[in-house]
Amino acid sequence: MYYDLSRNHLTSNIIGDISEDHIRSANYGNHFMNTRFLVPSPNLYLPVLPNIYTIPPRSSWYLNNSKFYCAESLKVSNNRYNFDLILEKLISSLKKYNIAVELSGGLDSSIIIGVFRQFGIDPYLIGFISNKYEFRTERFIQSKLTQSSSRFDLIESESIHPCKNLLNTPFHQLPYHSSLWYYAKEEIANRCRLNNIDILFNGMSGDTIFCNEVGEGFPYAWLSWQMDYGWFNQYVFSQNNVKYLPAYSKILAEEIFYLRKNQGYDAKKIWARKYFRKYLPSELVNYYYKADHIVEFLDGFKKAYKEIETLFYVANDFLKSNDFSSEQYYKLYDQVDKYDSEQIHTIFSKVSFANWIYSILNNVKGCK
Amino acid sequence: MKITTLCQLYEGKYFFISPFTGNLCSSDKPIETKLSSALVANSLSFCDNPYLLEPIQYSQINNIEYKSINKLNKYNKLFMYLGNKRFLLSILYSYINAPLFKNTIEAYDNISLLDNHLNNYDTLCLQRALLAAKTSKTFKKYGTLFIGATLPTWNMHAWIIEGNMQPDRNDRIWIMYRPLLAINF
Repeated sequence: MYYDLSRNHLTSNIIGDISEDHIRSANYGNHFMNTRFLVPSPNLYLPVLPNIYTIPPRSSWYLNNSKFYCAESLKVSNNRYNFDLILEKLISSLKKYNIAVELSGGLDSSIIIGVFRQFGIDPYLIGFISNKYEFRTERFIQSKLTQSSSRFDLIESESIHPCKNLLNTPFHQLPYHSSLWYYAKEEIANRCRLNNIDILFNGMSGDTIFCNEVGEGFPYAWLSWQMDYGWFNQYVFSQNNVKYLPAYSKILAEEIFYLRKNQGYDAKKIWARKYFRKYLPSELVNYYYKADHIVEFLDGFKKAYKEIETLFYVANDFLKSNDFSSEQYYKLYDQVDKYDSEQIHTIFSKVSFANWIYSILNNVKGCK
Repeated sequence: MKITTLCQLYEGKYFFISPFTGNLCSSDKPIETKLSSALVANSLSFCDNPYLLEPIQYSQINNIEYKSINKLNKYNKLFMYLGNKRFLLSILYSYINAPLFKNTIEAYDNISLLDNHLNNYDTLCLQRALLAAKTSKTFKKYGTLFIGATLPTWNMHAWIIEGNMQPDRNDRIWIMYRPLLAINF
């Protein structure tokens, strides 16, 4: 949903209400800043279209003097439960659904798979497998988990790389970097639909829950809406009748909060590896390797250079902005080889902004 | 000292690291790779199969004598001065063994406490690996220093495999790099 501050109303369709000139006035600088926040919460969001703020799914806000404040309480229940009992109850309530879990070969998704299996659900496992040398530890875990699975589907990531098929990205209301992975998620959603999957759980937010420092109070970053980016659900999975959800509900986050209370920053997720050890392959307990999927993204960027060049050309032609000139495009392309992590945000934000413009021009009547 | 070039094919191009400059290079033609010893082959097989390595168990870092800390600081300063640009000189300086630590795990543990390494963990990997190799009593016999890259980016990294261990407990990212150059003393 979106909130139009100038008209004080909540809407699900902002593009339908505004003119082409309004779209031309979109603020790329603000989008660049927003790209740094994974979840576009209205209190931090800098409007790309004048006065339009994003409202994340399942969140509540109040507005005071044109400023948004989160209306959700950080209070946690004082009742403590046995964690395994909570997991068992939650999973029992899911037994009527056909469940899938994204299989990346990393720690977070492996915990989810292990917990489901422990409590009687053998989920359909779906994910991308990379033949790149860099992802050999992921492949190892994927192979181990699929060997003991009755239903799985591993898609070669070389064929469906990030940034693929960007010119067919569905029309979306505002620019967002998730759109760069649209086609990969579309493939996942399609296969889930063909396998009659109702809910696909993802390992998103594992970094927040397991790495972040935890003090005395429940962390703001652990509120349910912070764990769901919404974009994939809205533009990819809902069209395929599949729900794409993070595995950490409020009740789970609360229990983990009590278990991790007053713990410092845990980059290696040592607590999670030890606490969930009975659900995990031993390799994920004993080793702390860290894969960097940005390499796959950069590889995808290079493979999609022609499509991205087209996006820049169209955005430049429409916006008449230097940000999307061919010089800027080639400059960005050169950054891929240099692997400057600061430049990754620029790549995300520029390509997703151009992709957004293209999706509007390609899909909305009257905008050509 | 043996330096082995490990050429890798990626997207139709051959990538290797120059043993003279330490630069990542690409070529249309392959560069011959000859594994110079069983030690390199063994270390390389651990790079390819990281889950076969023995995980480092936690142990308290042994306090070293004040005199040794001074020496470590001195060697570290010289590696910083030599930098990445005087690649061959840095390797030669590392080759001149000055044992301060009983093994390379202990060397890395102590080096990681030095100010400049504590704050620049991602950027000083080569200097850290060369300093560990120089100051470890066991590197010469059991260790291989690798320099690798993650492709298609030209981002590079240096790490050590010693025996059946990767001795730097703080380095979690070495698995993201393809070994392209191996150095043994």
